[in-house]
Amino acid sequence: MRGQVLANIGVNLKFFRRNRLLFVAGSLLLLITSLSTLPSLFALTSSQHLELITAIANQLSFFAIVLGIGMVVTFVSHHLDKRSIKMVITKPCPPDLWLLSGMLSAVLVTAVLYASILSICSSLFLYWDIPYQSGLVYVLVNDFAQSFVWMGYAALLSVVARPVTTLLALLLLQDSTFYWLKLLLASALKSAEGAYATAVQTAKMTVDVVYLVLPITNPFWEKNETVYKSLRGTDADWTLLLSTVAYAAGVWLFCYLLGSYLLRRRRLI
Amino acid sequence: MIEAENIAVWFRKGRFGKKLEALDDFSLVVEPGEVLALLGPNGAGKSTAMYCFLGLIQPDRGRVSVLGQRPIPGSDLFRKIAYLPEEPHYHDYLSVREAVAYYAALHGAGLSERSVDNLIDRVGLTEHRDLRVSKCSKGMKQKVGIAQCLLTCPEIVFLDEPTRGLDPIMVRELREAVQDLKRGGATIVINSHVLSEIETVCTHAAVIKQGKLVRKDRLDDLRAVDTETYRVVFSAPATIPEYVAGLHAEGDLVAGEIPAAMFWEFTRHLERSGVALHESSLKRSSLEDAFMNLVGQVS
Repeated sequence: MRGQVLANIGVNLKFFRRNRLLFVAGSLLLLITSLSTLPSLFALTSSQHLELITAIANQLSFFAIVLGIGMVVTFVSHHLDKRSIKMVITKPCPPDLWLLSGMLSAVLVTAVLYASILSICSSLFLYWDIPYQSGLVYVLVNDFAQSFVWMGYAALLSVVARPVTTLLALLLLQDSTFYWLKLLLASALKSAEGAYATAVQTAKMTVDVVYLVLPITNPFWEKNETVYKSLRGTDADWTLLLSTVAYAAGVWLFCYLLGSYLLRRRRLI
Repeated sequence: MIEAENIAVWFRKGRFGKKLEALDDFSLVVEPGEVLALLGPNGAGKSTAMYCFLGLIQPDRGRVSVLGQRPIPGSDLFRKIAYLPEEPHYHDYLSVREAVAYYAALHGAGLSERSVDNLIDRVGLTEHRDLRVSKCSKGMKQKVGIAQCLLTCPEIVFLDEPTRGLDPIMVRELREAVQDLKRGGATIVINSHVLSEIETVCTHAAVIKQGKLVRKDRLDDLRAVDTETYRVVFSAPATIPEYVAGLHAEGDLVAGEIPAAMFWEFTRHLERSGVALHESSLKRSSLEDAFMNLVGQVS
């Protein structure tokens, strides 16, 4: 089993490296970051350096999550559409092991991306000679955990839907969207009367159910807001980070198990 | 070795479309060491039957057993199985060498780099070992498939349209590879439309039509089924039996065709009528004749 997982991971890494769509997307994201941050690297005053490091970390982290999702979606949909999964499961390698290897490969690449972001931002601290803020590690680990949730969710959706549908679902079916919808409908319900109130009530119940089902990508956002802005380690609650990581790993595992079950039920011909 | 018992597979065209029966009450037993051809017109259910044997489709009804186990994709059973797909569903972003090495690793075959190279040499892809599978021609992709079938010493080999896109040299190579596997005691199931190939390689054939098994038999027995005829030339008697077909005059004589089974009765009839049989020759039937005959029978 270990040998098969390693063989799959090796091939998956080649897939990520050779996939043109991922290459173009990655290059584009890197270009956007470079264009938006490089000029200010030389023009800023020292007081603005910390703000710039925060912005760079946030932007690169966002791109790492997008790339992570992209890797999972292209990996699953490519192999299902081209039916090359058939060549895997007609060997002693079950579909769940294949899916696990694919998801682990994406996690591995994302981990490397986050390590690179940490290195870049830490280098900037050294370069500008400003006091190192351990909150950076906290923020990046928290974001890495978020990427776990996103990648698990993307893998699950990719098993059951086509890539475009998956991406649309990822855009629309987000916990944050439904959280705001919940608040909106709750305030609308206060002033609603008659048939309109019934309609709003039904809509609110539907939104509540969907919100309950959807994975929460950043479970402790409100408590982490300060450390995201200041990057100060003293603002960080490391126990909370541990809970976030555990939660993200749980969601990732749940999505993997459900995805495996659904994959087994698919006619892979 | 392989057993399908009253299996039924349904497909639906779209989510709410009409239900199509790909296999209906299909039963088949493949004994160890048999080289079985699955024959049938397009859409008869040959590939579906093969997918059921591989566990890629779970039948909606009935039971399939391979080596005494229910085939589950990716299970340990596949250590003893090799499969060549009809369409080249290989990992096209890998090079030929990487693909073969990957499939070997999945098998847990633990092949050395040299063994992988030898296998690539054997299928004639030496010059293209570093070429991406996506850049390979259809025939070259088929060779990749053949190479991955030869990675281990399988007990059962499933070949879905194996000669598709292959050049004549490779067809011969494939035939030899199949003969090697056969000599090694492997049970082979081939799905092919090239009847001449089947005649040279297979020991048995199963004819499928509209999802049902029409007949499974040894090739020799299958060829003999109601299809062998005698061409006879004789002096015209007062009455000619109705089983004489294709009657026509040949000078002063009459020529026609009679079923092989009726030959002795026909000679006795001529004897009783006091006329001579001038010529008789056995027309051996081909697998194609038998196939057409069997497929025609159920329509």
